[in-house]
Amino acid sequence: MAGQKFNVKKHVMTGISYMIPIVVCGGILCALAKGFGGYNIGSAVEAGATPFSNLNPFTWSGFWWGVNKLGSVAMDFAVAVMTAGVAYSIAGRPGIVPGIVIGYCSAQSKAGFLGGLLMAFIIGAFVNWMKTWKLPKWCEGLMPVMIIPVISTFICGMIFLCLFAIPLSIIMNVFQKWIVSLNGGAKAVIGGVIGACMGFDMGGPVNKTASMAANALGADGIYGPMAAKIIGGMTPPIGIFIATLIKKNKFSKVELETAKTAFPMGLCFITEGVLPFAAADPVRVIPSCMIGSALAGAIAVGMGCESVAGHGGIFVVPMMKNPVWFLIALIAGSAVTGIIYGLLKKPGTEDGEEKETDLDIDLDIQIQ
Amino acid sequence: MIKILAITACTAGIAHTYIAREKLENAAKEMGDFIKVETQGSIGVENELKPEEIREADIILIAADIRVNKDRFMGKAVVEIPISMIMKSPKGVISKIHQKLGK
Repeated sequence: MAGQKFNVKKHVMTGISYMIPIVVCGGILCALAKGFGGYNIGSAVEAGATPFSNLNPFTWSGFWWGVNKLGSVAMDFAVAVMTAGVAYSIAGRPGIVPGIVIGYCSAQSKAGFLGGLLMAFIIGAFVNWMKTWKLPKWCEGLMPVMIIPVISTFICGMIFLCLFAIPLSIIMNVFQKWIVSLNGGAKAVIGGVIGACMGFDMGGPVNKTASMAANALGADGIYGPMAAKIIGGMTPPIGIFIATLIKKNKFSKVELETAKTAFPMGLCFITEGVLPFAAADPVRVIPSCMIGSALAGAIAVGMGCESVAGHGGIFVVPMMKNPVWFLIALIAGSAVTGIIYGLLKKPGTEDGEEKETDLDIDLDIQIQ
Repeated sequence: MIKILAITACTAGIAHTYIAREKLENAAKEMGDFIKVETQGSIGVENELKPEEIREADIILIAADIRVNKDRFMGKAVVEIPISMIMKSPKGVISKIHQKLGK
């Protein structure tokens, strides 16, 4: 398989596709726990020798503390799963172990998503290089179970800790301080920026980076960006659904069906619902989504909306600060996305029998 | 008539994977080719390609935005394309395969 072109996007997308379920799982469990158990459910149970020492799941708060714990553990592992996924995509199975270990370190050291992504490529390249080593027969069997996992985790892990962990966490820290220093109109701007990032690639790296930034700020007690993050992720699928309502004849049957599933996904804050549209027509979908999300984020944060819950979409709105403005911003942003995309969308791919686009296809048939 | 085995896989693994499968099946039917499409969505592998089917296939078509393991296809002719190509032009892809295989 040598000589195959190195496809960065494919590797990142593989990692993201493994991460989506764990982020959704963690986010919704945390939101549920905070909804039923209260904002401070995370500290309802005192840690003893282990975090679970004083566990009592048969009381109301003990039960929801447990749910919250499950969710927060899932969130802690999100970057690790993404890193392992990207490393796996580049280097196959041997990428998983160093990916999980170093990805988890990246999350814990606050180097976050960026650190994980960067390290995944380093791990992938390193493991691929290790696979070319010529070893004597007797230790070939040791390669996958011992030599690769130990050496790749050791070398790549120490590269991360020595070179990247501290600078990356400082960058994240400076970024946080800067956001805290903003107020008033500037707040609306930051809401708009986070919203736009969220709408940019629907669950892709930019979106997740913005989420991670908002999550990190939330951890420091700054909850405005969290509201922008949630709203910026909710408007794209809802907006596309609105576009299919107002310009029905411009969409094919398949697209109309897909949009129907995008709407509930939007309400649940699963931006990925819009991916089928974004992948097919990125030039028009992405700007429409970014404008709508930015507007929604700016209105929400500018009007003082704050969300403690990091996920949960429409279900956590009642627990937010200024929920009414959140809903107004959500409707306004979605409508703007819907109207813009409705106008931009090119008709033509009519029912069932879609016209074939004449692509200049060139296929590369390879014998494996 | 050629025997095509295909795999579809998209990033979120919930929509494109299955739309592409349908498009491929329809296009192949229209062109009189045999096709079987394995989907690798978020839920896992469905409609799995069997070893004997792989042995008899003329071409393996992988339409994916994410990594698909190709270990099963040793010695087979494999085409890899992004899934968007199937979304835009399923018949175009199949006829190009015909042309390349010279059948």
